Amino acid sequence: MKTREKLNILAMSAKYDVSCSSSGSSRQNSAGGIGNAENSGICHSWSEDGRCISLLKILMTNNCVYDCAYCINRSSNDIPRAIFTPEEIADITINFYRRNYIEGLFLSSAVFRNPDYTMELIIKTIELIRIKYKFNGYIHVKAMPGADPALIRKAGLLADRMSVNIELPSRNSLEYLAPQKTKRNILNSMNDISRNIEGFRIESKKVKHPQKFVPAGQSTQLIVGATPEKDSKIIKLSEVLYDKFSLKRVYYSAFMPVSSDNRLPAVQAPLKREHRLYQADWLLRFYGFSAEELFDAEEQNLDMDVDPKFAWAVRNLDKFPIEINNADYEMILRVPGIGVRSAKKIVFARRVTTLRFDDLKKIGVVLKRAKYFLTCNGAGFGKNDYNELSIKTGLLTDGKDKNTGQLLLFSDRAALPDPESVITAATGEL
Amino acid sequence: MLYYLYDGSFNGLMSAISESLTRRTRPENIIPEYYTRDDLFGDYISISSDELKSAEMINTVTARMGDETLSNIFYCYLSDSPEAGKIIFEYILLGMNTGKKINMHLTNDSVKPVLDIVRKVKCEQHRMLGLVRFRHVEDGLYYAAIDPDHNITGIIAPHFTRRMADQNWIIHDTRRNIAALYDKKRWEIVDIESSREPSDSDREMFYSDLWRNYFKTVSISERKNPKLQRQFLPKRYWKNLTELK
Repeated sequence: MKTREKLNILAMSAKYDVSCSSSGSSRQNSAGGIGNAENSGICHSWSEDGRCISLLKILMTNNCVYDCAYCINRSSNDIPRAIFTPEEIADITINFYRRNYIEGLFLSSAVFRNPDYTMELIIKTIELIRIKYKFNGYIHVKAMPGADPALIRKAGLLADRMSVNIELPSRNSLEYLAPQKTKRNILNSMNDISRNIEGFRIESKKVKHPQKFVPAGQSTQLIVGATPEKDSKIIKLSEVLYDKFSLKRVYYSAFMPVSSDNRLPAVQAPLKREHRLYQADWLLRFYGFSAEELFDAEEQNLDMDVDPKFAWAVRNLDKFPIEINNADYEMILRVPGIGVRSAKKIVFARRVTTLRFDDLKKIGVVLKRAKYFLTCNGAGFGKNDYNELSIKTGLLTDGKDKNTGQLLLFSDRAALPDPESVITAATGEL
Repeated sequence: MLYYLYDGSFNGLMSAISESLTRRTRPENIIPEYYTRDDLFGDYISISSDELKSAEMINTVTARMGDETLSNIFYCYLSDSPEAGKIIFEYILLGMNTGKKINMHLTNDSVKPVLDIVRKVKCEQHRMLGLVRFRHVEDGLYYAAIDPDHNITGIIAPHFTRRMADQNWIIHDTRRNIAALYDKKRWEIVDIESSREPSDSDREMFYSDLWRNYFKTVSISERKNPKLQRQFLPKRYWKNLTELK
């Protein structure tokens, strides 16, 4: 089989993994070597679906012994199969890198023969790239659930990031749709990775240059809408993953039918839901929210009409309005329409000036949503007796906003050409 | 209306600003001498570049307004914006009063324009780290053509010296006729008059073709969204992108 054909098959099979980030590692180039990693991550292109391309995302092979219902590579699917040799992957990676097409390699695989055997193939490949080709660019590899911890450790010493995909957010769903992948195997492998990361962290306090173990951390992916789990269950799972397993990222992927199976929905899950989950995820990681706060007793799904921060704020009107010139940073962060960047600018700028609504606009605050929740030097924006209903109707009937950078993270329907996919596309840098 | 003209270099701009402050004037703009002078009633005064004066000005800025302020001024200068000279002048003028606190005045009319331009230049700088496309060409070197809005060649080159340390490369800004050259040891910016682009080596085709093919394959057709693609990757950059031109 020609390289081109193989690349087609093995890129096609890999593209449903949404992770594309190349951030979090600052690996330096070595003498006579090629490549380095940039802590911020770098996007190199954007495909027609608007998703960023940062890494060469391919599978070692799509020959799979498993038959997970949601997966395009399941053994019962009738698709062309291929396998790369480590040399082929190294050659494409290095030559793409030299032309600055990519930031590095994201190597995943179907389970070929068994998890250990697949893991060994992956290790062989990245060893070749790191050692023979002296490549110091970004490498993200998948750990095969249930693989020998020694193999996972070996791979992690060569990679910048490792991930194990949970895919389905509950044990029942896993048993139902992916009977060969057990929840225990997945969590054990994740645990192996986080233990090694912890070990590296402790080590780096004692010695100057410890052997790096996945410096960019661990991530995972959840498929949304294939199974009946509610948003609250998903976000609570993410919270545990961030807190207990110190994951760097949880990715959400709206279910898309890629194989026919009567245990699965026949239609694609709404991208909007995926978008709202990313917003809630951002609130956990950057805005000091807990999963508990984002849901109320009756409603276990996120509101599709407004973003989750806005939904939280109208449920908690007793905490507002806040005075922008003296409120705590933590509280400013909780105002809808104010992002991390604007909040920082506000606490910075108010040290030398008293902020008015006009200044907030200049700073990049989306007043359309923020105006209900704050005062500037005692003055409110228009009337001050808002209630949940008047705010929601006000927001939803407001005219179109001009598109500002702020809206990339928290946007409503009117603001962007297609807000659903913005976050998934921007992840290369996050 | 008073206009100062300088030779287009950073030292030239700093000399002109220094001169304007000494003369206690507040010019309408400070522009490179090769810009068109479209103000019929304007007074255009040329200020020659003076290294000593420029160095003094730079010292004053860092000592009184901090390193970040100097960095902002430099990025603003690189923007090639027609208003850059005026904006920088007003920024320094304000800095003479506010001192090191100058950059806290985010919403001030003499500060915000500077910060806005700096953000744009840094944004293009970062973006270009991903968008430079090298081709392997005849003489065994890697060649990339770029056409950035801002004069960023000099600030992206160091990234590539670290990253592509073991290959000879050229990054050619075809708009400004300058190029960064790297020979595995050091790099420099040179003027390039010829607009001829070198031809591909024999093996180039194989990889560029593979890449174009890969680029098409990874897009998920059910999520097709060309508007979003253009939002992240504006069309003006496409002509130098292997996968899109």
